[in-house]
Amino acid sequence: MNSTEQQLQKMISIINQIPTGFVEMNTDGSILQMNAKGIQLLMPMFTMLQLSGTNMYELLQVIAPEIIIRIQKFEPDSGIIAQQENHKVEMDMGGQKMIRYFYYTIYKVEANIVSFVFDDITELQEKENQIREALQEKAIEQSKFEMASGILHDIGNAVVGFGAYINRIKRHLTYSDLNTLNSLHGFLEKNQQPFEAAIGSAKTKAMIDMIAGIAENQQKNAEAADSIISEQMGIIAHISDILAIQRQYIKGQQTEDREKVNIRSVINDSIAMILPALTKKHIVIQMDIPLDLPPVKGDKTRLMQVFLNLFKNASESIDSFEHEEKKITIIAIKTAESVNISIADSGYGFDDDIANNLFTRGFTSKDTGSGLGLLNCRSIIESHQGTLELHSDGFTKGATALLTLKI
Amino acid sequence: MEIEFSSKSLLTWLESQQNSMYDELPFGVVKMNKNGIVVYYNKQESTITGVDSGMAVGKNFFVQIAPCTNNFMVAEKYKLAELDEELNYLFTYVTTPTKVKLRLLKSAEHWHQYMLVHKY
Repeated sequence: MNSTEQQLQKMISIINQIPTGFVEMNTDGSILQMNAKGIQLLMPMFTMLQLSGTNMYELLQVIAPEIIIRIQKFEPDSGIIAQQENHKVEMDMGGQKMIRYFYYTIYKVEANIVSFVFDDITELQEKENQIREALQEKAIEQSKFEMASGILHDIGNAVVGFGAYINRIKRHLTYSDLNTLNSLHGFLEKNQQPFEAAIGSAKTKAMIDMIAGIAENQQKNAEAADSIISEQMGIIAHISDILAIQRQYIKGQQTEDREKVNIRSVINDSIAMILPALTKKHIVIQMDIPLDLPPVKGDKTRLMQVFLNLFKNASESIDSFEHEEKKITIIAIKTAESVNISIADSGYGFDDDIANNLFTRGFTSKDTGSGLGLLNCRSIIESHQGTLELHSDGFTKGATALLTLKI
Repeated sequence: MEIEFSSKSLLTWLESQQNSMYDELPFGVVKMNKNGIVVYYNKQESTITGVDSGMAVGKNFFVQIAPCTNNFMVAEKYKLAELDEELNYLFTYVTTPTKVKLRLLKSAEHWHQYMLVHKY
């Protein structure tokens, strides 16, 4: 063998071993040459379809008949018939559907010779499909948030409108009728004598009493309407609050641009705000918060709202019954991923029934509660990827709020 | 003793012989360890595939010598502990497709696994 022949042999054995399928065939489909990878990929299909394995057209007829047509319709003596195209093959394999993806290039080498270069790209294709699905899911998730955001915005607008309407009703609720009745009553009392002379004292008294009664009724009605309206205003304020928090939450989902918040200073600020009320109730504050507590990502105002609410609950609970030691204990610790804060009070506490409902919308154990405070707190904390739980050993045993906030 | 491609006791016979004895057989023999590394590649096998015996020994048969067998029809079968199967297949004599009959042999009690190749 001379060196050119050796080179050629080497080249051929490289072609035999390259990890891409290669088939050389006649324009009638009969296979002239095929490399190892080609057999590796095609042999299972030849066998499954019970084909001889000597003619490509027998196989293409089943899995991709259009390719045969393209080869036959290609008139020039040489040239590219197909350039890196993809083809999906579906085959029935013993009752199981098999889907494989191939990519191929077909080249007409000379008048009667066609080369076929191909590979099985099923795994690649499946990976790509998975990525596409994941992206799609993310897009759906994103559009959900956008939709929720839109709805919240609309409800927010409606609530503002409703608030303005109630305000108007309140303004219209003037006491003019009541004032008229009162002056009428005054006038009658002042002129009691002439009236008595005219219609007798019994009738005069009855008339004056009646007017006084109507005025009193009117007064009561006006007061009741006033308090109902105030209540409504309170509820609207709460709804606005919840909407604001939900919006914050969605914003939190959309962007991660929250600032770093020092929890120690948030707690200090909150206590400073309610300290006068605590002092008045003789409640002592005990604090154990490390100086090096790491900051958490969050919204300072919202977090302060939570602490204020929790401190307010604690102080109201402590004040709700007579007992010796009135105190709130605040302890903070850091873990690898979070800052954990416990707020324990010596207040009235709660039983299991109340515990199960603490975070139920509209539930309250207070005389004047709206049942929205704790729910708000939890929403805020959850929007910070944190948790809020409340524990109590039962009535008169006090309660503890446990917060975790992700660092 | 007449040794044939389809003899029942072929595996036991192969295990009991010196490697050089395989060269007397009328069909190709690829002797591998259980990781698919070629231990012996007989003369007949070299004739069928054009692969030199010296070049084949020490290499992974399914990956380096005959990638055409690296699919569920052949290579995957050797994952079984017990294997004795005959099938029709195509080999490449360099790049010329060659019709062959294969017999895949493997048993838990024997140290090696074999692939027998018969041109037809």
